[in-house]
Amino acid sequence: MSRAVVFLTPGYEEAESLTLVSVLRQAGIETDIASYDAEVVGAHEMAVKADRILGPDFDVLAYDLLVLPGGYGQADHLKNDAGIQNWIRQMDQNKHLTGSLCASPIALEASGVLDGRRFTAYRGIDEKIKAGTYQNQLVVQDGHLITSQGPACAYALAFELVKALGTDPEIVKEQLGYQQFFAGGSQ
Amino acid sequence: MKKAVIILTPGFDEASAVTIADVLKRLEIPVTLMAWQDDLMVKGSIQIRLKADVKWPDDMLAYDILILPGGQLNPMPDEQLLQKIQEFYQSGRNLAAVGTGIRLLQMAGLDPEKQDRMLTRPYSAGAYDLAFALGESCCKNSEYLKYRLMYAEAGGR
Repeated sequence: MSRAVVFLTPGYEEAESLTLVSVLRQAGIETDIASYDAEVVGAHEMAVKADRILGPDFDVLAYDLLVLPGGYGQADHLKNDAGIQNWIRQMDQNKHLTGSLCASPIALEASGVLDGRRFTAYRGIDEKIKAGTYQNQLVVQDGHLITSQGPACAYALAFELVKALGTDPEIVKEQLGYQQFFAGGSQ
Repeated sequence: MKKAVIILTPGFDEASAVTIADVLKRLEIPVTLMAWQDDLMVKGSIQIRLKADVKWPDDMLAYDILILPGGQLNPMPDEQLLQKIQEFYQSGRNLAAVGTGIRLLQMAGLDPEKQDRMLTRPYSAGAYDLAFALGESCCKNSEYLKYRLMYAEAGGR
């Protein structure tokens, strides 16, 4: 079974974060919410409990997929935290999958993993990122790096991540009624 | 100013609940997450533990819109919830439901297809669409918010 870890720090976007966890778990991927705190509060004051507490012993390579949801507060934390920056680089160097959307590609740039890569991000964030090549597309995959755009794009990113882990997302799409509400969203 | 309450029963649909709360908060509609259990930390259908703002039995009539986010109905929510849903509707207030939340409305003796003041979406992925409709019902235009969420880019209808 594939394993995924979703990093949440204060200021994460709740809807996109929980949508990502929800789709991954429904697709049968063992998914941990990891944070420095037992309870972590998002951009809209909603708090969730972490499954794993981050610290010096945290082994990111035990996971096949690292997910970095967005939110401006979260993007700053992901960018400025030396431990998280190191875990992002470890996933990249060992060719494990990383998914990122919204403002969080800022943290990918800081870690150097966007160098020479194609990516997408939230509207306006592309202007702040100098590394790599920005593409205005719903989801951009470049090797083991998959990025997406705004909060409402979380489903599209989640389905691509599920696919990249070798699982067919069609059953989950159907259960969620995705096609009924996101006509152009499936890739 | 209208106020909304989202009921979190054990096994609730996390993505729907949080998506609706997120959209309403961005539209500046006050939202309260109410745990339908004794502990504020409610475990949802895919084991995410979300912290509610208040615990039942809060004063339901302090709110104008009651939202049922769907999720697992096993174990079945208690009779008291069904009774509160019915009272809420009978007091002239509005209800909204996603997925299995619609089943709860029906069990409370309501028919969303025939009665007014109820907004429903049959699937979890309809949470954004439902939240925008709830916003409109509170005279909040959601076009700019859709732009900010990149809803059209995501393929949102």
